[in-house]
Amino acid sequence: MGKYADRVFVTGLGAVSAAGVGADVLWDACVESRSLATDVPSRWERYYNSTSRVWAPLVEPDYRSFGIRRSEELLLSRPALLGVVSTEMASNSAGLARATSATPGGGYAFTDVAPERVGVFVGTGLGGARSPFDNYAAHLLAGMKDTLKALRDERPDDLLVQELADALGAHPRVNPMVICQTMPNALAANIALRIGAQAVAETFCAACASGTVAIGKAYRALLAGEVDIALAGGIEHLSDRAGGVFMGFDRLQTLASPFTGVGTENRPFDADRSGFLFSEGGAGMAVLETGASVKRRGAEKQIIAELVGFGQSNDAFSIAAISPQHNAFTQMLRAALVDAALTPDSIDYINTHGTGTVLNDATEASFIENTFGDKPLLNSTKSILGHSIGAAGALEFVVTALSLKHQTVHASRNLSKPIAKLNFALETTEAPLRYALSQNFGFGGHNAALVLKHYDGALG
Amino acid sequence: MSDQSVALLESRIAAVVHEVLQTPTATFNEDLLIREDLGADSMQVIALMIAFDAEFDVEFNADAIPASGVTMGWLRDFIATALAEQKA
Repeated sequence: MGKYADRVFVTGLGAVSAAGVGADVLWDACVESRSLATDVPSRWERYYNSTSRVWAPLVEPDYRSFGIRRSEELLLSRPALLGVVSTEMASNSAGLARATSATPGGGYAFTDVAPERVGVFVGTGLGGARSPFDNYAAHLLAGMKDTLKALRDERPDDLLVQELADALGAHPRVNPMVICQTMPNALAANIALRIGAQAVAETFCAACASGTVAIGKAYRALLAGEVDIALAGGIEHLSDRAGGVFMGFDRLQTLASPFTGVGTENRPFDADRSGFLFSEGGAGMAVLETGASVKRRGAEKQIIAELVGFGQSNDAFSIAAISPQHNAFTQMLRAALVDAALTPDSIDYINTHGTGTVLNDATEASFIENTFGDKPLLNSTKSILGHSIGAAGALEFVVTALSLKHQTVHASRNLSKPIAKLNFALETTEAPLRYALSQNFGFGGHNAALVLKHYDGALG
Repeated sequence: MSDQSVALLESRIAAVVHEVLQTPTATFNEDLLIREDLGADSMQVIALMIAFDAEFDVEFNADAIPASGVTMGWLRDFIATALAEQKA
């Protein structure tokens, strides 16, 4: 273990989301309060009559433009690819130079830091859980392959034929990489391979709080001197072509149902809220590093924000429902504020979990009212992006860091009748922001919060 | 298969090998062994198998792999046979 660090900085950000590819693309969508909701595919309605009719699908990045070869695209799972793309963006924005010759694992290590001082911390809800379904499809459809291929051309309007042909996917036979794609730790491991990180590569599963937990764990490892630079964030790619995950959430009555049209259903903290906007996923990755590392490589200009606190807790109440009591939230917040040596009245902005479900929002709003009063500005990034499960906390961390950098809080979309007298950002607002809190709560009772600080130019 | 078709097939095989194994050039040499001469390890062999599958829609059965090792020439002949069977 190395020397203990005293400060942790965010020096690079990368994001893939329903808004597109790039942290700046995500930020622009938030500032413009753009709706990313679209109708679910009509074929889903053939075998399931859903309450919700909207989702926020992902557009696949151009992997080649991130140096990912076609063969690598075939070897890695979709979430692993999103993680690599987001890592490339984050490390580029941090100005981390790369070696020109490959590591034994085929990656390209950073030149400014020893590989054994670099760690990877990734959160995910479902990891590569979809990958075995490709093998199952291959098993079911192997005997029909040629017939399906012919029918696909002959019957372009037959949704069943088209869907079955699609299910053949990129791997019309048993995929030998299915284990390496399914295991959740593959997400961190593939990033470690890509950047030659040898200190640690860990994956955290805490449902919708996964990304937040991963970033918090990276923060702790940096403070403990275990690593000098961490790639930390959250990744999810539900690859929900057939709507299987969507329908599960819909059946649980957690999704936004029709209101007045596409783009208006998703209404966190509004009296007419009905559930969350299902997002197909995303990836948010951040470069976190110690102050000593920033100084050593002369990267002060890359500093976006400072990370000053992390806290977590568990409700131990229900596998899916949020606890109406606030004790677990209070415990989470206390831990985060102790790290930061702050009291609640120091927080200027809270990027809420803000799902848009009836119970979640009521509980979160009452917790904020009791703990912070009406001082901090509040918004819900999910009002724009929808809920990207294991990536949500990391994407919201990206937005919170950029909010501090730009001294701007994006509007909470579709909030016309707030459920509490709190300081909701009804429009995108410029404001002096010193400290911000980003909090997330997940199925399983997982609660996690990060405290960020505006970088005032004093590295010390 | 015409000479022109064989040349095209060889160039596509060379391109896949070049892309997966990161060999300096995309050159077809029918005597080169994938493992011994081009240095492919076991994971790279799997990557090649998946890449050929995606490129040509062919499946490599373990029983078909010659004990003496896989050369680029063997790959060409195997894939040409599979493509001919697809057309039949």
